[in-house]
Amino acid sequence: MRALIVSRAARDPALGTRLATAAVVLALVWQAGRAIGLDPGDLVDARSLEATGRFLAGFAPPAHDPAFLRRALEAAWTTVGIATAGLVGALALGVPMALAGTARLSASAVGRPMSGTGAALRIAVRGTALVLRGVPELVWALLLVRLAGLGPAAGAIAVALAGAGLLAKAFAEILESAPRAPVEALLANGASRLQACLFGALPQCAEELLSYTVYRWECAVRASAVLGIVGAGGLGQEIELSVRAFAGDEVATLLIALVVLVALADGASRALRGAVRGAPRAGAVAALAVAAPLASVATLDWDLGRLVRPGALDRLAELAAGLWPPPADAATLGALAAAALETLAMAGLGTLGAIVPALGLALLARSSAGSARPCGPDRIGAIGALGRAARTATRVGARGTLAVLRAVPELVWATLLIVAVGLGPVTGTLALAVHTVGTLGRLFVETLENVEGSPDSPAAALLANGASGARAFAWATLPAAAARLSSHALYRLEANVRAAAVLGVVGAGGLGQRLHVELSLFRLEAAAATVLATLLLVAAVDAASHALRRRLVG
Amino acid sequence: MRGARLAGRLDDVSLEIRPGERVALIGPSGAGKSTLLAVAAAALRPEAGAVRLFERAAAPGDAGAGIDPWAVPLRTLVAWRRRLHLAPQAPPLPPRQRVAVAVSAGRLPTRTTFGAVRELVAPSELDDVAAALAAVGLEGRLWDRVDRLSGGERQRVCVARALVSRTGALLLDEPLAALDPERAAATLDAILEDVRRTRRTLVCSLHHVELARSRFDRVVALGAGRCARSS
Repeated sequence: MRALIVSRAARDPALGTRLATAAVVLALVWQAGRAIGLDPGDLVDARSLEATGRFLAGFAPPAHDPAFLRRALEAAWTTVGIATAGLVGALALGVPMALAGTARLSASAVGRPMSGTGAALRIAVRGTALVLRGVPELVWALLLVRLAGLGPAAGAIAVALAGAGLLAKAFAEILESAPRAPVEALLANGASRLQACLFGALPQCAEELLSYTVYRWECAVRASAVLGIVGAGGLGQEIELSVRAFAGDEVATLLIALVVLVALADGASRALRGAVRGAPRAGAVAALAVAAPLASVATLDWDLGRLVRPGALDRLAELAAGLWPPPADAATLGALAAAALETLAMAGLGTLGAIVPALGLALLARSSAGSARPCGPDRIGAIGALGRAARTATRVGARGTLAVLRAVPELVWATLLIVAVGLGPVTGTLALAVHTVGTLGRLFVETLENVEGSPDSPAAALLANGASGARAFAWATLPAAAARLSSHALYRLEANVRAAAVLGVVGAGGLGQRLHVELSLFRLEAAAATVLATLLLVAAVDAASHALRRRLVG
Repeated sequence: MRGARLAGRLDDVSLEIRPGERVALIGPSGAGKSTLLAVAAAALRPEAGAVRLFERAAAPGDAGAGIDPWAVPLRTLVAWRRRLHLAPQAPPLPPRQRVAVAVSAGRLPTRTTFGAVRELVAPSELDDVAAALAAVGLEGRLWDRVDRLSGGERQRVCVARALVSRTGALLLDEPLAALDPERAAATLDAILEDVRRTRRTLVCSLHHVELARSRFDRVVALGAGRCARSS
């Protein structure tokens, strides 16, 4: 009996699959590296290192003459204005779409299958939302610049269109996730869709809806900083101008302004969420957090005359007609497939390359580093105090690094890295990786803190039996957190495919570069084909990643 | 933070456990059994009172001779912890880990870091792991994922982990809580057979008064944080 058990036990049945998976991943990485023309030697090329050095040396001290500070402040104000106006527009467009797209609220579907027209309308609304959010803000802005010219109006509309698609989807999901009984009771008694929403669904999800709206505003601030790069004004535009002029000191000041702005937006959104939950003293901060952005919208010069001047409608019709039909010949499709693969390779490598640094920084930044550990003897005196101070300094430093990497958007990293590495997909990949370290690191910190935080965590049990911290991490914390960590990485991959699709605008290759070139040459049909390819790629990666994530944490 | 769940209260409990002794802790929920075990394993520091480890008792009741785990350097404290295996009541197993790895984690504290990583990739002492699993009635479950097991099976994986550990003492917190009566008796017999063979000390908290009476050298009853009866 014992012999039988042992002989069956001796071999790990999953070993073959694991080795095969590792081989496939390695092959894919190799292929992706070839697709973007990655040559590690390029990164340490003496000449580019020298250029980078000179550029970075110019960063200190940051530009601080009053005139420039004023310009930076105005740019930040513009960025907030574009984001806020964009969010208001997104709400105006997205909320009706969410209401129409929520099956739960359908009065015609009570007690029977949904009517044909109802179902068709719902599919149409959801499809529109899919297209609106599938096309990145920057691509909307590039199209709108043709229509409205450069300026904040084009930026705000771009933020509004992409935001509407996202809000419509998220709001519908939130409304669907609430318990169905209150809504069904109202509908069964003859209430209309709007009544059922106001009295049945809204009371249950108001907090979550508001919280998501605030989060969207935070994202809109980041997005509008990026839109400056294509001429919408604000911080992005100033950064681009300063980089082109090789003025490192100005870039430094503008980057600081961007980081501070994002930190403020972060703080404001936390205050708003606190006020919604009824936290004491959050009300005043929240009121300021609402009033300041609205004021920025009011003081901005929108130059709406350009949008409504005679002939604008004709030009819109012209633009729309020019987009159709997209070419579908073999040469175009082949080129599009190559560009899509390049974009996919950039996103994949950028995400993969960020995982290890993000995990390392998260390990340093987590606050639970010692809390799962059974308490040790008291460390008193100078050495104990020094050790504690060093640990706190490490943690604060790691958190700050993550925050800065996260606050500066991919596209801004790309404009900076172009100076160092030059144009091309490798630059784009690096920019994605740098930003992803920040975003992924923050998610990793939360996951690790959740897994090790409690005194009856798997790691605590091993530590109590005398295992070292590293061993407890490898045997208990990592396996307990692995599924969630992978799910976070996949989520970032989805976001990075979207980001990689627009990085090309600054010359970093892939679909974005094609689109930028085609729009510059007024080849509208070809541009439409590229936008469609972007949509398809984003949808395909979303679907694949969604399925994988459901397997991981479902 | 730490000890939020273990912050039980023990008043005036005095307990001396000799090497090789088999002691059962009984008492209602909240009596302080888990707290007492954590204190005995040097995993929880008592706010008042004294703990002495591996004392060769010269005179009973003399608490001054042993080693106070909270007065030695951290390195020494960790070394003492390696000589005691504490198995908490809630099975502390990562959900997606496989049974073989979860059980061999019992030997983790005595391995080198390099050895520990190598074991993760290619487990080597599978015979012992398989034998421990067979002893608790989990033959052939070596490569199952922990989250595919039932609550009772997971608890027996924890017992198997304690059995493969090479410590001088096992401190088991309610190892039979999630088991049906028949399975509980069989699992307890497997534990007792192991400690008899390896001549190690066993302290085990239980709800089963009958099992405690019939199979242990000594039964200690805790009530509301006090040592009610020791027989």
